[in-house]
Amino acid sequence: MTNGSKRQLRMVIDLNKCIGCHTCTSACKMMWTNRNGREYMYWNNVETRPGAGYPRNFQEKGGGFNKDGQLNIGQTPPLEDYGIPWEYNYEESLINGSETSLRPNVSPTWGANWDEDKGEGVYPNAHYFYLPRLCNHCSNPGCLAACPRKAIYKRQEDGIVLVDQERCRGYRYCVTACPYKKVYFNERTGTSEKCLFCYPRIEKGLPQACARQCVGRLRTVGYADDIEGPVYQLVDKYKVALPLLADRGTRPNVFYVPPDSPPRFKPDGSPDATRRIPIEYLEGLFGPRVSEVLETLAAERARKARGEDSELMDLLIGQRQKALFKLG
Amino acid sequence: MDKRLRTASILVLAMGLLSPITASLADPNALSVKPGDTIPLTVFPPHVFLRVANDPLEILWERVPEYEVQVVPVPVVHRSVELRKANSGEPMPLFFSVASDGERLYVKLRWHDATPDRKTGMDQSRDGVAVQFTVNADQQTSHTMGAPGRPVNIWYWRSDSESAENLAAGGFGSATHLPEQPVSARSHYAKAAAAEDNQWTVILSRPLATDGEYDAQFEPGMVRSMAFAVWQGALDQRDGLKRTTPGWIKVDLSPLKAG
Repeated sequence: MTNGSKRQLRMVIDLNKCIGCHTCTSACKMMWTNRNGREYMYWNNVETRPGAGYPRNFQEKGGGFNKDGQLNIGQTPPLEDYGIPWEYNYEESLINGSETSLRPNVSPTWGANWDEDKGEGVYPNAHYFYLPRLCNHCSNPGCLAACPRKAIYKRQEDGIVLVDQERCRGYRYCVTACPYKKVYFNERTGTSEKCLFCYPRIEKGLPQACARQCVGRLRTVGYADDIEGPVYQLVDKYKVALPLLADRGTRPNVFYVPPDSPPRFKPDGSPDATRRIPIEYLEGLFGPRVSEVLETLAAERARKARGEDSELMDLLIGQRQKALFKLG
Repeated sequence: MDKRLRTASILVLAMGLLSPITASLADPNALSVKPGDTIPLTVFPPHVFLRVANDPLEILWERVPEYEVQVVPVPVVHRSVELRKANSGEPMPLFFSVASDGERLYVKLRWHDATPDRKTGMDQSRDGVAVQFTVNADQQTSHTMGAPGRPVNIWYWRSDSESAENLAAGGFGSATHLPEQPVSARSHYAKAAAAEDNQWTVILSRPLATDGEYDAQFEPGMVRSMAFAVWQGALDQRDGLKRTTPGWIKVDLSPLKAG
C-alpha cells in the first residue's frame, strides 16, 4: 500500500463541494510560488472540467508507466501551455494616467484556469465541475523513476515526494515523466521544483495551506494506515474516494470524491434518468468505480435526509474543520 | 625527477609516437587521434604571456598543435535516457589543444554547431562541453563518469551562464558540484557562410595545482588521462544524452619543468 515509505500521508478532495474560488491556489502561491522563477508555477491549481487543464492538455503529454510497468517518458510542455505570467500597468493606468487602459504586459494565451466555467454541452444541459490538482505524492512516482541522479526521494515518515535541490541538475526528465505534470522547471535556479505537501507545516502538526484555507472544507488529510483518520474512512472504509488517472500506474495518494450532478433535461423539459456530467467522462478521470461511489453517496444522503445517522455524510459535511485533519 | 618515473614517461611518450597519429581529412591542420593515443602537452615559452586568460581568439593558439578526435553517442544507462536515444546524434569531430603557461592548464575545444543554444528552459537545452580527468593519475577508471572509488574530475562549460563548473563523479548519476570552483572558461561562437560550419571555441583552464580532494593535479612527469563530452542543445541533449570520446586520451605532462 505504501511502497517506498513507512507511512503515507494522503489527501481526499470532495469535488461535490468545490466552488472554484481558488483560495487553495492563492494560499499555495502566496506561500511557495510567487517569486524567484516560480511565478508561472501553480503547485496547486483548480481547473474546470471538462477542459484542457493545466498545463494545457497535460493528459495527452504522456508520463507514468505502461501496463508492463515500463516508464513512459512523455513530452515537455512549453511555457505557453502553462501560461506566461503577466503583470498589469497599474502605475501607468491608475496612478499617473500616462496610459488609458489597464492591461497585461504580455498577450496571454493560456493560464492555470484559462477555460474556467466553460465546460461542455449546451443549455439546459451545459455542465462542468472544478478539479483542484496538486502533486499526488505517488507511491510509485514517475518523476522519481525518471531521475537518473536520484535527486527525487520519498520521505520514509510520511511518503512526501521531494526534489533535492542540491542534487538536481535540471535535466527535466521528471517534468515529462509525471503524468499529472506537477513537477515544474525553474529557469532561474536551473532546477525542478514541485509541491512539498507543505512538509514544514506537516512537521508542526498543521495541514497543508491548500487544505487549511479551503473555504468549502472539501480537503481531508490523514495517514493511510490510520484507521481512525478521515482519509482512511473515505478511501478504505466507505470507498468513496478515487485516485485521478490511476491507469498511469503511479499509485497516487490524493483521492477525489467524484462529483454528482443533476439529471439531464429532455427536449420537452422533463428530467432524464442520466446525470448531466456523463459517467464515461468521470470514469476517464477516476476509473470504473465512479457509478458505485455515486450510488453510495446518494444512499447515505438519503439516510441523512430521513433524519438517520450517516457517519460518511457527517465527515463529508465537515461541520468542524478540525475533524477533517488527523496528522498525529 | 625520479629515474623510474622518467623512464616510464619516456616510454609512454614513445608509445604515443608509435601510434598512428595522422593528419585529418576534415581539417588538414589538426592531427587525428583516437582513444589510447598520447599527445604531448604544449608549454608556452617563458617569455610569452596570454593577455587574457581563456581568450578563444588569442592568436597564440594558432601556434599550438591541434588534435581531432571523434566524439560518439554514449551508450544509454538509464531508462529516462534510453527513451530518448533518438536524440543522441551522429559521431562528429571535436578539435582540442592542451597547453600550459607553467601556472595554469588550458584546454581548448572547438566543434561545429549550426546553432548556438544558450538557454536552459523548460523545453530547451543548452550547448555544453566538458573535459574529464582521472582524479588519481595512476588509477584506471571508466571514461564514462568514472566508477565508485575511482573518481573523475570534470570541467564543464555551459553556454547559458558562460561559466565553468568543477565537478567530480564516481559512476553514472553521481556528478557533484565541488565546494571549490577553480576552473574558469570563455567561449566564442563564430558564424560562417554556411550554418554547418558555424563553430564554438571554448577554453577551459585551471591552476596546475589546487587543494581540492577531487581535483586532478598536473605535475611534471605525469601522464594524465582525459576524455571529452559535447552536448548539443538543439538535440535537447543533457545528462547522459551526449557525445563523448569512446575512451581515454593521454596527455604527457613531461614538457612541464619541475620546480
